[in-house]
Amino acid sequence: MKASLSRRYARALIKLATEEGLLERFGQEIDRLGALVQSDPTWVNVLSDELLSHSGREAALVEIANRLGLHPELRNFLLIVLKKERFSFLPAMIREFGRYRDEILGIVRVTVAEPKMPSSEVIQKVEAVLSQKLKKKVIATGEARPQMIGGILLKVGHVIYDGSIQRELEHMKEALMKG
Amino acid sequence: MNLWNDFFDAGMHWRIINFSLFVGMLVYFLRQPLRNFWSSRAQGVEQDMNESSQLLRQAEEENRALVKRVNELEQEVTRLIKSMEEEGELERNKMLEETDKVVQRIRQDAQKIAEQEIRRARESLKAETVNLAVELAEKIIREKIQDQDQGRLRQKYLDDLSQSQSASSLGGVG
Repeated sequence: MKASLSRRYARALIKLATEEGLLERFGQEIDRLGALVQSDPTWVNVLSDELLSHSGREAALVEIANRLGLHPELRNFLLIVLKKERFSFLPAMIREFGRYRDEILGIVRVTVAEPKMPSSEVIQKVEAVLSQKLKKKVIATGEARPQMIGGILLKVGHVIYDGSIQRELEHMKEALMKG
Repeated sequence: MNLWNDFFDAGMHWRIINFSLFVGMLVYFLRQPLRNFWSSRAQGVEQDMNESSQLLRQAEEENRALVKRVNELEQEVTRLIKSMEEEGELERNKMLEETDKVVQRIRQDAQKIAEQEIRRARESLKAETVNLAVELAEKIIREKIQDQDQGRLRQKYLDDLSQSQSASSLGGVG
């Protein structure tokens, strides 16, 4: 129920953005909104609380939208979500929107994991290599995994490219067991 | 002369005559039945003798048959004893063969189990050794790895990735 509703709202927003030619802008603004939700999810809970007055929550949402500099159409969309009392679905809607947007724009999102947080140079290098390989626009984000010994691990959708030392050790282990 | 007179006087002569007449009549009337009786009697005796001799022959034949049967039975008993002894010997040999087979199978099974156990122990030991070696290697790498090494590893993997055709050769899993 929640997933299907979130998909329906995300598709509606994608349609609106495509028709208005604002897909990239909406995408960037939704990313900002997503970052805000991730950093502090309590405001979503507050705006979803039906015990609070609707006008008060609406005013708060308008204030947040203005501060984030959201496009009026996107702000109106958020107000409709609030009015329909579906604001608790916002994180899922943001995820679904991102997925649809990436599909339309041919964007591939990659997570680059290393023992220490990869530098922007490393991220750019990975984006360049994968863009050339996948023939798509690649947006990479870094992730520090202290449990890794060394090497690199790339997560592209559901596919994991494992260039870690652990994998090499596993190969070595298999070879030793077979030999 | 007196004796003769006395005889007549006493009427003895009538008695003799009566007796003679009686005997004559007896002979006359009984001659044929007696003849028939004796004839049939002789025939009966002859028939009895024939029957007796036949019975005797039969008895002798039966005796011979019985003697023969007894002899045969003795032979049969001997043959049966021999046959039973042979069967007993065969059964004994068969049981010995079966026992040998069972013993051989038990030995083979025991050998297989021992071999499996040895193989399992060897594999377990090997796995333990390999795990220890890998753990040691991991520990050493973790201690010795430098930023330059990490950079080289990254660069090598990205080079391989850009040149590779398939993802699986680079640890790509879906």
